Amino acid sequence: MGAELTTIDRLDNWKEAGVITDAQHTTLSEIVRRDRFSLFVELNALLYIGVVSVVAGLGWTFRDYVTSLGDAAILSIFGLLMPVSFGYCFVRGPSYSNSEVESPSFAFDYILYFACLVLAATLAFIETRFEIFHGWDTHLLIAALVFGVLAYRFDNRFVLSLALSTLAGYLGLKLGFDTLDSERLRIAGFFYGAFLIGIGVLLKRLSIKPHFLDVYLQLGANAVLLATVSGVFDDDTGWGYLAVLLILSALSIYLGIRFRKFAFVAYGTLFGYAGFSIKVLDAAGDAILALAYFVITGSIVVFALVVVARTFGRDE
Amino acid sequence: MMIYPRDDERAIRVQRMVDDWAASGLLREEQRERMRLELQVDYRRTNLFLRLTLFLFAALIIGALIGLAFVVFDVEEATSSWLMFFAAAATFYLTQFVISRYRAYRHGVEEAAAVASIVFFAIGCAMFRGDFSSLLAFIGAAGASFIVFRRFGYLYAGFAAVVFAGLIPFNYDVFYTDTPRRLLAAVVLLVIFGLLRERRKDHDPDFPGDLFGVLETTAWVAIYVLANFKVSEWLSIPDEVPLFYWVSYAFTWILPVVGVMLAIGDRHRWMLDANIVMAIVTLMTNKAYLNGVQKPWDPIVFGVLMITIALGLKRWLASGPNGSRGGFIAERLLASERERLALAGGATALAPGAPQPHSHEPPPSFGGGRSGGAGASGKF
Repeated sequence: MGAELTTIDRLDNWKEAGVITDAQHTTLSEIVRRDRFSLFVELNALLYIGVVSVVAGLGWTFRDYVTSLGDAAILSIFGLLMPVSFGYCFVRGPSYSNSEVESPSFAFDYILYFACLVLAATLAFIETRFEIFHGWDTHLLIAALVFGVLAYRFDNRFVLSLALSTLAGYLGLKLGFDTLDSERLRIAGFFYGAFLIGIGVLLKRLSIKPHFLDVYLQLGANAVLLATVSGVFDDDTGWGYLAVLLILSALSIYLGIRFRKFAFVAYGTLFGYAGFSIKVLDAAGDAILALAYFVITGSIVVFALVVVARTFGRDE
Repeated sequence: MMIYPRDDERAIRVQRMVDDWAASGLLREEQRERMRLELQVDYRRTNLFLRLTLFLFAALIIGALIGLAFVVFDVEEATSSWLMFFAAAATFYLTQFVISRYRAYRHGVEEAAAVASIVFFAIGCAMFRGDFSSLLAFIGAAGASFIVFRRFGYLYAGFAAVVFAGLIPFNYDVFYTDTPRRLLAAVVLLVIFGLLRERRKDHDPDFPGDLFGVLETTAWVAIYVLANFKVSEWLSIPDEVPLFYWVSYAFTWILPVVGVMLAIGDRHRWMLDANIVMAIVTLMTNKAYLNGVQKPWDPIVFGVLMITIALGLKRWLASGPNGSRGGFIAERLLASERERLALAGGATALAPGAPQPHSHEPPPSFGGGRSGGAGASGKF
């Protein structure tokens, strides 16, 4: 057996062959040997956990001590935290740009996230104590819109996710089979997903934060397909939902291949197959038939996916 | 011996690094192209999502096939064990065949076959003596996982081998109480940890050192889970032995501290991250250990502590020569680190903080809210 090349050996060879410069060799060797070791992700994770814990603790404390603290004291604390954190973001934040903007400082994104969570808690407190919105719809819609605007203003993916999940709350759903058990929720889920895909594509076309597109598409496609596949269980309208599901799955697979977004090929395949199987197995009623169905249809899917993978999806 | 030559495995990993370096602006595009030319390997690889989908469908087919065999041949209990062993051998051979014949590398199908071989072998072992034996099942699962890991290099098989090995003592009938089970499991995992640590150091930072590094961390985390009664009561109800209880409490603090020190010394990312999580879990379970009462402001104190540590560490690192302390820096080095954060940012929409289904009923009285979803998840 010949000598096995290490990464450092390869870097040495590339330097000798003139592929990389001395300076690049030094930098890359330091990274490979871990002589330079970044704690960037770890520090960000600690900040995120810290911010979420503080806001959760505030909520818990105010819930337990609302009578002893009083509304005025609680609102004063919220009223102090919000302007300070939002003020910091507007004063220290970069100017708006349609393209991706680097965070101006290490803690900036988390101060914005904290401010948004405090805003959400404040609105919820006001609604609970004073019922000025007469229901949660307005509160959630306001929060979703404010979060959405702030996510774009400061280019923050965490806040965008908060906006989209709050919007889902407004529409009365949370992604999951258990909650999509009524026609109303199913339709809400479908339109929520369609809305996300539409708004994401529109903003991308307008070149407004095009790097956010993936968040919209991932959430939107899953919401639409999940809502549709849940309809297949319905005895009355199941076949209609299945027809829609198969069309949407085919579309997802086609667009996924066309734009080299293979997650959508996977979603289309899995949701389409699940919906189709629900109806077929419902009619089969025999264990041997059902197992044979999985072997035959599974083999067809594997063959088709291998062809797709060999033709289009070689890159990792 | 691994089926993929070590040089090929290393070339695949260096390809990823080269792409990351180029995306981070450390290499120019033409340099990347030239370097990748030297890193070509003759395997069929695929996109992660296609790989996962292929894995699922291949597993479905294999599962349905074995189910068909049982139903069609009306397999009796006495022979079912041998059928499972046969299925395990067949699927193991299938993995070898797909890799050798089609040059597949992490293509999903061959991985599903390999995982099926582990599952079938474990079930075969469990039923070997007629009645179901969980001890034999775990020994079989650990052994088969280890063989699959050694032969094909699948990290998750190695992970399974470590975890199953740690669970074997919990299935010994000779132990009727929790304390000897935990002690024996801890000894087994400690031996595994030591062996893997040595093996990792032999190869660090190259393949297979990266695999051994993850498995070493797995063994360490498993020891912690055993040591922390508050997170492993589901595994085995701890005995009421005061000495053992307080020793385990001490270890919930000792293990993360020792782990972080080892990680810093070795610059071992997996160990560092795992021990940070372990330290956080220790803080979260501390009051439960001491039979203390959780206070509403505990999360605030905890959160402020996390923020203080993050900001303090950042400032301390940044104030060092060249923004570094012993090579540790707070700044981002590679594009992949930013991608990980972006992925986490997008994923928070599906996190537990997302809102509960919205009710059009008037809200109940002020009752606490969770973060996220504009507080709609609680009873505010």
